[in-house]
This record gives sequence, C-alpha cells and structure tokens, in this order.
Amino acid sequence: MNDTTSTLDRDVVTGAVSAVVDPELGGVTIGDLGLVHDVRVDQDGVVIVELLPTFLGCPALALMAVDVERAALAIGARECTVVWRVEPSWDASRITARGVEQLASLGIAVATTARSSPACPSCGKQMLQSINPVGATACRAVAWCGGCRSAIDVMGGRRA
Amino acid sequence: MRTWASEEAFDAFIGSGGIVEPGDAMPERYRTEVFRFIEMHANSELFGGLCERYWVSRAPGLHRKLAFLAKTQDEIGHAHLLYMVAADLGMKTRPEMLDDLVHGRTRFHNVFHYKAETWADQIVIAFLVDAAALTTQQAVLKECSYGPYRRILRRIVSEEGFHMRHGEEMLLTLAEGTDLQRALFQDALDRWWESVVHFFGPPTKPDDLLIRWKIKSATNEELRDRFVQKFVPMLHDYGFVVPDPGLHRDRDGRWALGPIDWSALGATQRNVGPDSQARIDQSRSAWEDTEWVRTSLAVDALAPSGAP
Repeated sequence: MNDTTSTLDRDVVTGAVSAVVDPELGGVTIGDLGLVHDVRVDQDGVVIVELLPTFLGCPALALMAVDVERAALAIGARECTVVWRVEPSWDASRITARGVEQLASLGIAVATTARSSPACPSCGKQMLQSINPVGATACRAVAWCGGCRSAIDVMGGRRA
Repeated sequence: MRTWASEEAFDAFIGSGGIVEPGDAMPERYRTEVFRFIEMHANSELFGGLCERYWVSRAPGLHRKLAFLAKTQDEIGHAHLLYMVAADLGMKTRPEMLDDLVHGRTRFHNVFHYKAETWADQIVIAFLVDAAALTTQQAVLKECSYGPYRRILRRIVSEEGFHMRHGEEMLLTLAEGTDLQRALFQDALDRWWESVVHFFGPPTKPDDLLIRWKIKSATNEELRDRFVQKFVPMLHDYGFVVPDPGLHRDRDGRWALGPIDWSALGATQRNVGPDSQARIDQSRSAWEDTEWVRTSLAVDALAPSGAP
C-alpha cells in the first residue's frame, strides 16, 4: 500500500535518527553523543534503532525514544522501534569531535578516557579541579576551573 | 584584572556589551547585586529540589517517579553550581549561605512559600512555574554581564527546557483525562495562578541596578507579558479557564491581565507566607540530618584549595 520500501535508505534513516537533539543538552545531537549503536531497515519500511544510554537510570530515555520514532516516521518509516541496549556500554570516547566542541560551548568538558584530564571548556586552561563525582545528572561530574573561576560539568572519566 | 576609574566608566563598559569576570575590580555595588541575585537563584533551585523530592514517592507510576527523581537531582545540581559561583564573589561562603537559608534569613522564590496539596498542584508547578522560571532565565542568559553566571545558565536553561516537556506531558495527561482529572487541574490553577503571576516580581523600578548593569536584560513586566502571551492561549486551548476576571485582549489583540493585588507577594518576601515556616523547617532538617554525611566524607578536607 505504500512505496516507502524502495526509497527508505538505511543511511538516510541513520542520518535522520542521529540528528535528533538530546532533550537536556541544547543543540547536541544523539549522533554526536555516540548514542546510536545500530539502525536496521527491513523490506517493509520497519525501522529498528538500537541506542546506548549514557547511564541506565537516565530520565531522558523515554523522551529520546519518542523523538527518534518521530524522526524515523517523518522520513517515511512505516514503523519504528527503539531498543535501549545495555551492551556495549556507552563511554565518552564515543562522542564525536563536533560533539565535544558543542558540549564545550555549553560549559561541559569531556574526559574521553578514565585518566584523561580535560582542559576547561571556557578558558582552555588545564586547571580543572574535581569537586563532586555527580552533578545535575548522574552522567556528569562537577569541577571548578581555577583559571576562569567557573563551575564546569565533566562528562566521562572516573565515575562514582 | 580590569579596573574602572568610576561607576560611569563601568556603566560604559557594561553598555558596550562587556562581560565582567571574577578577577575584575568590579564596583562593590555590582558585586553585591550580582551576588544577591545568584544567591536567590541558588536558594530557589534548592527549595525546588526539596519540593520535588516530596513527590518522588507520591507520583503516580514508575515513569513519573523517575522523572521527579531526576528533576530533584537536577535542581540540587543547579544549586550546587550556583552556590560555587556565588561563593566565589567573596561575600559569603557556601555554608554561610545555607545557614542563612535554613534559618529563614534569606529569600527564595514566592512559589515555594505555598503548600502543594494535590498532584495537580505539583503539575501547575512543574509546568507553569518551570515555564515562568525558564522565561526569566532565558532573558538573563541573553545579555547577562557576569561571565561565570552566564556560562552555567546555558546548561541550566537547557535542562529546565527538559523539565518543561515533562510538565507539559503531565498537564496533557490531565487535560485529556476524565472530568475529575480536568476539574483537579482547574482547581489547582485557580489557587496557583496569582502566585505564578507574582513569580516575575512587582513592576521593576526605573533605577533598577539589575537592569542598569545587565544582570538581567528585561523588566519584570516584560517577562510577565512574554509568559502571558504564550501561556494564556495555551491554557485556553486545553480548555481551562484562567482565573482572572480582568483578563482581556487589548486593541492589538494582545492578552492583558487585570489589576494585580501584590499583598500575598509581600508576605512571601518577608518569609511569612502561608507555608514559609514549614518549608524553612524542612530545609533545616534536610541540612541537619545530612550532617553525618558531610562529616564522614570530610568534604572540607578533600576540597581542593581555592575552590569555593
């Protein structure tokens, strides 16, 4: 009854899904955050999107799933199912270079490995002091930059 | 470190879009104003968190409980960031600010001086009060002259937008529900509307220092008007009655509120609103009951030197 099957390209769907903006991080997409694990499109135009949560108790999971479904339906998917995977587990090394840059503009530093100590996203100095392992959400720690005297959030790195 | 020869030179700096940083020799009056503003914001985030925590165990369903748990963490996290930035201004330490707050010596937003009796009351808070807060924070963020505050506001505003989506979803559940659910929300709206209108504060005085130094970029009336233009039609669309007999459209078709009685706001500003004492007592218990955690973590000993 519909002709979406011939036109629904997996890369197009992946692009649309990856462009969904994280509901808590103005402007940063779930693609750039590295949350999109896999996208499958079957012959009937049914889409299955596998996503990785930054942490299991994340309160934004339901909203993100709704936004992803909408994005897939908007480009012609007949149905869309979002699956939150627990493996592999998400870590900050999945964040793209553009994602790191956009997070920096929000004042969020990214520690790509457990031992790395990122520069301050506001002033660029290597003067971040860890204050608290969790901040406004459990996927972010709180740090203080002695350089520009700003309160900074840090994603990734050592977790509580 | 930058210095200014006079308040007039500082005015010119601010007027040309200058951003003040903590190391600058800012006029003492600026330091006081920006400190008080951030302290009030921090206090209100903390009280918001305490108010939402109450609903974690009472919210209907796991999904809502998770949302309230996350919002509580968000508000406390925001308060934490704000207290750090406020303390860095050197007027009070964080423990001093908390001690003043839990003993009722400082102020917090008017809406936290009332008791949320029903689930619908909490939805009014989660949707309309969060929307009002977001309206004011967006206006501060747009032009705020104090660098560290502006930087954390970007994150706070993103997260408050997320809270509003939760609030709207909860409101829609009631709006699309049974007559009883709709009546529950209308009743809550009837009791809370005035305090939501008051949230923006009384008319800004012409010589207001917060406006002069771009700590905030819009007057209280402008902010209230932005809110009214957006949310009055929305409430009408959902089929609710805005409880203001003087509400009307002006000649340009814009919504205008009837005369505002400010007496209830005055009481909240003196911490003698209907539920002020209970809220302050609750915050003091929360602070005192967690003393053992701070002691066992020896937070002070671990805090890196120089960080507020």
